[in-house]
Amino acid sequence: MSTKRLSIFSTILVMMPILIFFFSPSAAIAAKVETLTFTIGIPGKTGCLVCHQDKALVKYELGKPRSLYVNPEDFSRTHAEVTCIDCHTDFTYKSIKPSREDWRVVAGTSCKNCHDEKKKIDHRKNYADYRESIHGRRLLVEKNMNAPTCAGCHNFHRIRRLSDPVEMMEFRKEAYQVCGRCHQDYWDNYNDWFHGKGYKHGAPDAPPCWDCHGAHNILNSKDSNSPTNISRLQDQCAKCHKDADRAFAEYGRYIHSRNDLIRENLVMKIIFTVLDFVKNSYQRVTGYFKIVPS
Amino acid sequence: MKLSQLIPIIYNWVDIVCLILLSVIPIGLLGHMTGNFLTGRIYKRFVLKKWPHHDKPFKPLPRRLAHLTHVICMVGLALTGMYIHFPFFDANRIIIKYFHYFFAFIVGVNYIFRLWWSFFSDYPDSDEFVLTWKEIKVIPAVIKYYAFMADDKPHLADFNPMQKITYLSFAAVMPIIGLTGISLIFGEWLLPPIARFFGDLPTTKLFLRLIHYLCNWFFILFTVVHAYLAISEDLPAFLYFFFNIEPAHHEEHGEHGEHVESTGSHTEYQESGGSLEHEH
Repeated sequence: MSTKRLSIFSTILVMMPILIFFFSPSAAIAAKVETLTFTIGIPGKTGCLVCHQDKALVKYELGKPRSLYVNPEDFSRTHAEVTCIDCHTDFTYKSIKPSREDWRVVAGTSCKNCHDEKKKIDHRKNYADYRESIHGRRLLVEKNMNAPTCAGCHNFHRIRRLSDPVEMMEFRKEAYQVCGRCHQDYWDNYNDWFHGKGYKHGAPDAPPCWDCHGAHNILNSKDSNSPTNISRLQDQCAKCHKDADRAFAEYGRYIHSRNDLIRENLVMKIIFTVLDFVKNSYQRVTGYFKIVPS
Repeated sequence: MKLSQLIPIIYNWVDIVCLILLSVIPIGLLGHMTGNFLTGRIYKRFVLKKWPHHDKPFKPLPRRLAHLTHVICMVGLALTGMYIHFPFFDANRIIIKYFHYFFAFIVGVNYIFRLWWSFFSDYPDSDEFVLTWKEIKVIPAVIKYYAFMADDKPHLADFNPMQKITYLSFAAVMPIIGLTGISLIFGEWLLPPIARFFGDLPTTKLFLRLIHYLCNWFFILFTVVHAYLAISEDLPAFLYFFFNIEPAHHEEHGEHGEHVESTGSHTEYQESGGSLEHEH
């Protein structure tokens, strides 16, 4: 083998793994996952916020940028004295980092670590309730990493101070963010005039989901321990409707079923039938003449 | 079926039927107005100025002011009440409720004043609303007139029998809606004695709220018709009641300069542009 051929062969031999590495899709993703784009740290800030207060801080995941920006104002009122790693207890500089789900769950349930008797703060009780709830069981027993954590309802950084009446009132308006975005069907059919429709139009006297269903200890309504179980419903009603008895609690079944009542109404059945007939006739006519509606 | 189970179903029916009626009635009234055009009634009234005859055309100012106050507050009550039941835009329902109570209070005071005025004032008018058997018998003839099946309607008094029935119904339903409304606000104190008949206090309130709501629809639907007829059938009276524009009629003044109700004979009124109605 001539020297020239040997040099070409050895060049190919060296270049091959490098080319394979750079042109393979997985390599491209792997390379991008750890790519961080940010400007210089904010002057006067220390710790994590040096970088995370930068709005331009993004991380590429599967080719898409994900913002890693943290607004310090979000926790300036609540948890102002709590440091980032108090919640992000699994923070590490090591090369093997926790998965995104783990990262979310650890931070999202870190409330359980916090109690301060002087300030009368003890999140352990709420966590104990959560652990027994349907959400907690999904996460802790079934290991469903997408199950709601504390932060799933209370938010990760912008957590409201619920001991403050104003903040509490604001939080009560967030039932869609807290419950509705996951339980879309129940959110949509929560539209009886007294409760749901009123709530959705800003009535302060209308109840958000957790007033009836409970908050940390939430259970499936079929569970006899659930506050919305038919056997216990009157207690829930009595919170607002003094002296409510079991017969009154029967109304509860209509809170999520006004749509059904409308559908079952004879007059509405006739109207829907006529509307369907008109719609079908229109479609037939347009189909026959091949009219394309603009 | 328990009452608390039945009430939501009734509510649903009332919502649907009354909303349909609220949509259909204006269409019907539009049809009636078209009938007025086609039969020449509009021409007779608005061009030839031949408006209905009034035996007692003078209505004292307090009576008209009470009516005006009542109209404004009832519109306020209807709007706020409908919002409380059908929250159709974003607002603070508690504040809307307080507006509702405010209007209700004025209407309540106004109602008491109006009752006193009808019986005990210097110008008692309770006799204007008395419905006689003779008037009841002409109801079909009045209906025929409004259905364009007759050219004239019998004239027995300033108010025709159907008007009297409507106004007396208003007066009768007013205490019902008022008392049910008060019971809803002060239910904890007022309702316990009757709560056992309905089961419990909240069910009682639910039932009373339904009655209150039904009365509300009664007022809304009848007021729509009343407003239409007031304007289309007797515009001068409407202008007199709301804007103090006196209709052309004979007035006499007493020796102290106060108004004395004109006995306004039929012939006199026709001369001044009154309508030609049969006197039965």
